[in-house]
Amino acid sequence: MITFQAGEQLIYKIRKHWLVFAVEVAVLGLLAVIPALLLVFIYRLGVIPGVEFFTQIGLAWIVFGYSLWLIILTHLVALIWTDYYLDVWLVTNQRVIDVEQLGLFHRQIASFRLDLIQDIKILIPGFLATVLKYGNLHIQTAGDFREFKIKSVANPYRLKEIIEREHHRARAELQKVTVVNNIS
Amino acid sequence: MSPIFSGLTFKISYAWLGLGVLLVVSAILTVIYFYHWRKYGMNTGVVVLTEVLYLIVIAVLFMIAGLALGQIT
Repeated sequence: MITFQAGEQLIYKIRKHWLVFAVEVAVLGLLAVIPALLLVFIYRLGVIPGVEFFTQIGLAWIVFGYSLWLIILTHLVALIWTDYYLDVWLVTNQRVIDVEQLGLFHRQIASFRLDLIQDIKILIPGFLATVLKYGNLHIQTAGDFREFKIKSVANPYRLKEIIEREHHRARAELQKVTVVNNIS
Repeated sequence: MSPIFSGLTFKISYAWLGLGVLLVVSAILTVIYFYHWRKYGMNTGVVVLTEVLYLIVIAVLFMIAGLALGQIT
């Protein structure tokens, strides 16, 4: 759960592109299909002579083993989903919050003030990224802060635009406060 | 030698044990997943949909595994 500061409002929320999740799940889908294909192969070609897989008992063992395999893969899908769904970037009217879920028990939350941003860079890593509109976003901040990166983010141009707009607003507000203080 | 250490009975006992262990592990993982999704997920609709889908798939798979093992027994 993210705790917002007083007066802080959520402006934009973004995750990695859906393709990241889809590719990982597709790999697991392939792993789910391979044993079934292998069994068909064994059945058609009789690769292991003398072993009867396809008696009633044999089939029951196969269904049992395959179900266990699918249960394990389902858990992996849930793990990938957890990683995808809980990895999120939040842009508020005060700061950018980077929430990173690393496995089940490691969660990292970093944030930086909008007025500290010095440079925003977008990297579109190839043809697919261009067509599906995803890319990597690098944000350089002032001071001792590190460079913030978000990989394979959906619609990076929109995110850059929003962060830049909020950065300018935050800077303007900061200058306004300074001028008001000088006058009084 | 007792029947549990002979032939098919031996295998079936271990298969049931394996299924039981997987059930316990799955239950623990389910609690952990649900805890994470409920605590950190920001959209209740998506979280509930994920939980329902996950439970249906896991329940169906365990049912199939149990029925298959029941056929052998």
